[in-house]
Amino acid sequence: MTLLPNAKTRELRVGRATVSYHDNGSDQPAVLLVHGTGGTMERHFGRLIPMLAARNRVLGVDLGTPDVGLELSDFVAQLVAVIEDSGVGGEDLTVVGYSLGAVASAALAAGRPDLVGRLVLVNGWVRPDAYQRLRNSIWRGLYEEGSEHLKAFTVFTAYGRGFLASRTPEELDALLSTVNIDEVRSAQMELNSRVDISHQVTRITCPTLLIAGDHDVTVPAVHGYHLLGAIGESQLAVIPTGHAALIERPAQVYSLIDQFVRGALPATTNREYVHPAV
Amino acid sequence: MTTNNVLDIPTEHDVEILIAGSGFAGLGIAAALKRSGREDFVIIERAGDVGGTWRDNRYPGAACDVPSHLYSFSFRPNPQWSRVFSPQAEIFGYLRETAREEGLLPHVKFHEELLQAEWIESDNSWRVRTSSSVYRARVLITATGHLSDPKMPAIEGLDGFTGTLFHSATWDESIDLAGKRVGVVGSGASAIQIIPELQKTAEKLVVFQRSAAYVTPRHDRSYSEAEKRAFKRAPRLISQMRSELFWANEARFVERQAVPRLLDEVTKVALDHLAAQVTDPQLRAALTPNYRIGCKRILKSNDFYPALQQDNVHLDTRGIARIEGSDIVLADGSRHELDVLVMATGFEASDLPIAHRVVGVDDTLLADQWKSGMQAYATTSVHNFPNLFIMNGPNSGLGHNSIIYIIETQVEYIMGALDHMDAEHVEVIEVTAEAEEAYAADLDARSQGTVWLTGGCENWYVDPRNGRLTTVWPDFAHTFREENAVFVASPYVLTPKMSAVAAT
Repeated sequence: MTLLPNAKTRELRVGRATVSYHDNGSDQPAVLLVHGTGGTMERHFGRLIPMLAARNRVLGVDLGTPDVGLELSDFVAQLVAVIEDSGVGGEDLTVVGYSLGAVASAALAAGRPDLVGRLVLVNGWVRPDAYQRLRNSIWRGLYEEGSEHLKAFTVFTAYGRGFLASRTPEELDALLSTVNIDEVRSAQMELNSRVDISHQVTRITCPTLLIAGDHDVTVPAVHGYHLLGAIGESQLAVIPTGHAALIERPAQVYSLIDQFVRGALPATTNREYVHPAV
Repeated sequence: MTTNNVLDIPTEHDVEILIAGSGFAGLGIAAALKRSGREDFVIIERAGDVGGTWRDNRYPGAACDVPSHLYSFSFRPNPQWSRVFSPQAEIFGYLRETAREEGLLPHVKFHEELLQAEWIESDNSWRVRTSSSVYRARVLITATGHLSDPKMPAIEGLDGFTGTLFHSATWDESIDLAGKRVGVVGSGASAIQIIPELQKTAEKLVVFQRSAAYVTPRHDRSYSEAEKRAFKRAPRLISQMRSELFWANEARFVERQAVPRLLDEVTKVALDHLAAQVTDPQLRAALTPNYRIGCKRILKSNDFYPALQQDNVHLDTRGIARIEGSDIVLADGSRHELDVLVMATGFEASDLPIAHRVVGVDDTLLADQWKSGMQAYATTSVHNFPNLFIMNGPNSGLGHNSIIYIIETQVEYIMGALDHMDAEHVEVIEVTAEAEEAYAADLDARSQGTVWLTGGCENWYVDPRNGRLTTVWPDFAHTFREENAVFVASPYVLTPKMSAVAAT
């Protein structure tokens, strides 16, 4: 694929769904990318991949959502299958999960510590609070009405206020046109409203980098602090983005992940990490 | 120490640290020295004012391509910038104000050009001869810029041009160009700023384009009084904006890694801009670059293409063969008779003029040591040149972000080195050839595959003598700071002070 040169794509049937993954197979430290709600590897990590690929073997999954009864365990099983199929599991593997993909990655690291060497959770959460459930219920109402406002609401809650405020009308239209509303997103939104990994996150033992968006109204930054407290060896960077951090500030997210993978992030383990002023 | 034993040798001035140049780099390191409580430094400046590039490049339309809130010192945020991309006069004013308010002016010796700096091994110091003085300095810092000495192309008969001739960086303000027949040679960053201004008043303007540039929209606007007052009242807004601008620029570095899909995206932005502003297919073809985007500097302008289409402007791509009297003779024999010729032909970047004036251990001329291309450890230190720190030297340019960020990183590094020398009673510090070589090899490896080397153009980022990317940092700007801000002594040979040895 053009996004990830020299990548091979494989499909695996896992339970009731099919997961596919792309792997550029380089001999550098491996990074596995796990997208979030409504996403694919390309949609969510498209900006990050060229950056990461300069120094890493990059693997990205396109998660499979079964037709009915999606559970987090479906995604976790798919991740296990991908890691075992590609043979990258172990202490050299960094798993980077975004949004719902972060929740699945956290559950993976908790359940299969043998597979995950380092963990990066971008805008992840432990269980939804009332604020999130309220937003989710508005989304559900608009979805069931077939509302023309659903795309706008999705954009409004996905991106940071500063990011949206500085878009031109054409750029805003482009953002709206890229929102895909379908049954897959609906099933994932439904999972978002009830997922709970509170009993799993405390079992995570690998070094974990948490990234949270200061302007995130989908998963407010307070969830990053919850994870910072829950995970044994973790550090948190709060950056000035909305939920779509990977699109709003890809280079800043990349710089954090890259340094973390290389063990070069300034020693702030078990602390909040404040990005130095430029 | 003052010596005056030979009558025709001027008095030597003893100084701990000598800085050559008072542009962004010279003022940046001087401000850091001053703020840290060091007073024993002198800045020599060849001109009569501070400001470097922004003092010299005062051609009509001169402005910066990096937003001003980012293209300024982090320790001196300026709420008063009038526009996103402020004009030259404002940046120059900012630097003059910096020199004054940081208390640097008493340290500046104006009209003193560095003629030769020589390392005196027996004395562990630099002997620096300027146009009017001699200094004995323990540490020498060159802050002489990488875009400061005009480069003139070798055109037959150029010296014999009977009209008025000057380079864009040495603009002759006494010449009124209104109603004149004017030629501009070049189509790079300076040219595209000059041309729209000259078009307004010249009788005839001929643009001699050597190679077409990619031009993208310039998202410029002025700041309202309310916005400026908000910046002043809440300085946090400025640091937030800097962060936003910096990381947005960082995301563009991957374009330079020649990832085809990203090159296609940014190429489309440029070619759409061309198509929107130029309808004539022939002119559009002449303005379409024949290399991959990013190989040369990507330009930003909204008024360059419109200016080219005015009745009094003529774009000529036939190439200049020679100059005869007031005639520019083209390759096909046709001629343009001109009153004024402006050379917007850039600067010496890969063979830095300062290197021809610095002599290190065993009479080694820096330019000779660099005869097949320049290199420096951490972009600042060179073996055979003890106690010398070079700012804006090898691999310190950027194609995608603010050079001020690089300069401030070098300031941090040099301050770290000076602090280490003081703390450990070090008299002489010199990087090893091995460390320097390994550093250069690493940068060379990283630059492979970048669009500067593979984009199919001639640019000032690559040294034609060794084909290496020697002027630009081949990575993200944030990795420049990660790798080059903190001084580490291990790659250096350190010689302790005699007094410290005696005391132990």
